[in-house]
Amino acid sequence: MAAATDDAGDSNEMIRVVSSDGEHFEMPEAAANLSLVLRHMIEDDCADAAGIPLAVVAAKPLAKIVDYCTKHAAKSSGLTIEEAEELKRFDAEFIEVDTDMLYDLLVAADFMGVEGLSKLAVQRTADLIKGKTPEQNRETFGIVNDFTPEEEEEICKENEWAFQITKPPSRLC
Amino acid sequence: MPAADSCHSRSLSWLVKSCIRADPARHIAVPVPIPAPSPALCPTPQPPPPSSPAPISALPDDLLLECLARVPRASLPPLPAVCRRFATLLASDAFLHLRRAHAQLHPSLLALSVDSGCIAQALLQFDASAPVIEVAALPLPLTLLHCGSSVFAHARAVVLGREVFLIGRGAMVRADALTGAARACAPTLFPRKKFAAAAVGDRIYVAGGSARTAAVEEYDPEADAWRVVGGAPRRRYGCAGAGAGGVFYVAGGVAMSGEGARALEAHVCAGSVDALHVASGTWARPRALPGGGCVVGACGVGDHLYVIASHAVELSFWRWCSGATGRGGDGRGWGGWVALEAPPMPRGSVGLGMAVRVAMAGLGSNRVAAVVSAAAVRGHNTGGGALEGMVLVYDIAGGKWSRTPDLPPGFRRAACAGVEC
Repeated sequence: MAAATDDAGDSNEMIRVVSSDGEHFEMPEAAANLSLVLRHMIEDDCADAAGIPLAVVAAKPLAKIVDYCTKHAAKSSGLTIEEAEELKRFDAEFIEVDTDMLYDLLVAADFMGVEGLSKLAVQRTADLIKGKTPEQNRETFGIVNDFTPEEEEEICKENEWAFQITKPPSRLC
Repeated sequence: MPAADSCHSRSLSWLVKSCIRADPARHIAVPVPIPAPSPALCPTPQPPPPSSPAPISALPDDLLLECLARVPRASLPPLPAVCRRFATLLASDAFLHLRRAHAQLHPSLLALSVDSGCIAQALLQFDASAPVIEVAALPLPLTLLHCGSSVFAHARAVVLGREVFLIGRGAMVRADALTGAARACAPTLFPRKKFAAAAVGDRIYVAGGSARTAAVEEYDPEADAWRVVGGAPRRRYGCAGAGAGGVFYVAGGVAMSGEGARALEAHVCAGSVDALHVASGTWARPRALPGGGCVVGACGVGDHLYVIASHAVELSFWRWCSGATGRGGDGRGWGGWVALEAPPMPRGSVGLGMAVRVAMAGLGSNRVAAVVSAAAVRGHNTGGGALEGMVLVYDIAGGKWSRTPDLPPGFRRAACAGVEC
C-alpha cells in the first residue's frame, strides 16, 4: 500500500472531517492521527479542503470524538504524572454520557479506529452491565427479553444461585 | 429479534418526526467502511422518541463481546438470563479468548463439595498479590436433589475448557466455571467410588473404583455420553487419575481383584502407575515409584505427570517424564521419575497413626496445587498435627512449594480442579 509519509511530527496542519449529516469539524493533524482511518486517509493524501467524509458518524458523536482526539493528541508523549492524572480525569468526565451517546461512541470509535476511545467506551459499557440483575440490565440497555417462559425457567434453574447470592461473599475481581 | 424491532421503531420515528437532532448512525446496525447512502439522502434524520430503548442491543457481536468480556467475573452469572444474544455470546469460545486476551482469566484452584442439596465451591485465585479465596454455594440441579450425600462423597472434578464436571457415584454435574450455570449430565456407566478421572484432549476418562469392572470409560461432552474404551490392567480402588501428553494415568490405590495374593497386589498397586495412551488405546506401565512410596495424589501439567507419594513418615513429590523414545515396545522402561522438593508438611501431620489425603490439580502451565488433609487414624492418639484443607502450591519453574490460605472448613473431602476463571 502507500508508503507512510513521515511527517507526523509536523502537525500544525488542520484536518477537516465531515459528519454523515454534513457538519464540518477541524482538528490538528496529530489529533486526526489518533484515528486509524483518518491517518490512512491522510497518508494517502485524501485529506483536502473539502474534508474527509465520515459516512456513518453523526455530528454529535463526531464532536465528542474530535474533542477526545484533540485533548489526547496535545498530550501524547512524555506525560508528567500530573498530566497523566489530568488526562484520566478528562476521560472519566468525557465518558459520563447516556447510553445513546455511549452506543454512538462505541460504534464510531470502532469505525474510525480510535483505540483509546474504543477501550474507554467498552469499559464504560462493561461497568454499566456490572452488578445488575437481568431485569436491571434489560432496563438500562433497553433489551427485550426474548426467551420463551419455558426457556427462561430453564435458564433461571441453571443459574439459580446467581440470583440467590445478592452480594459476593468476599473480595472479588 | 431485538435488532429488527428497534430498527423498525427508529425508522418509524424518522418518518413521523421532522427534526431535532441529527443522528443517522442509528440507522446502521453494523458499521461498514462503505458510505451508506441513506444518511446522505436524509440529512436530518431523527432521534428515537425519548422513551425508546437505548440501542446497545443493536451493537455488532464483536463490540458487544468486547463489552461483555470486560465485565468482572462476579457479575457474569446473571448475564445469560438477560436475552438470547447475551446467552449465546457468553457461551462462545470467542468470549473466553477475549477474556484471556484481556488478562481477565487466571489459573485458579476450584474445590467442590456437595452437601445437603448444594454444591459448595471454593475458588482460590492467584491474580492478586496475595491469593484470594471466594466461597459460593450453588443448588444442585433439581434432577439430582434426590441424591444422597454418598453420591458425591468421593467425587472427582475434571475440567474441560471452561466447564467443570463433578463426577459422583452414579451422577454427574457440569458447571460453567465462569457463569456458574450447572446442570445434570450422564453418569458413568458403572458406579464408581474413589476412582481415577482426568481429561485427555477434549474427553474425560475414568478408571478404577469398582470391584465389578476393570472398564475404562470415556465421556464425550458433545454427545453427553459415556462408553467403554478398554480394560485397565489392574482394578484399582482409591486411585488417583491424571492426564498429560495424550496419556491417561491411573496411579496408586489398592487392587480389588485379590484372589489369594491380595496383600501383595495391594502393595504393587500403591506405588505403581498404569498409563493409557489414549490415541492408540495401548497400556504402558512406568517404573514403580522409587523408594517404595504409595501414590496419594496425581495430576498432569503440560506433558508431565506429577505425583505425591506417602512413605508413612514423610511425603515425597515426583515428576514422571516420558522418555524421548516414547512408549517402549513392551511398555516398560520409558522415561523416568525425577524427585522434586517434598511438600512442606507441618510437624506431626505426617507419621505413624496419621492418615493423609491429597487432592492435586495443575494450575495453568506452571503450577501444581495440592490440597492436603491429615487426621489421626481411629484408635491412634497422635496428640495433634491434624490438618484440614491445607493448600500448597508448587512453582514448577522455581522448584519451590509455598503455602496459600487454607480452604474453608467443610472442604476436607472436596474434589479439586484447576480452572481458568
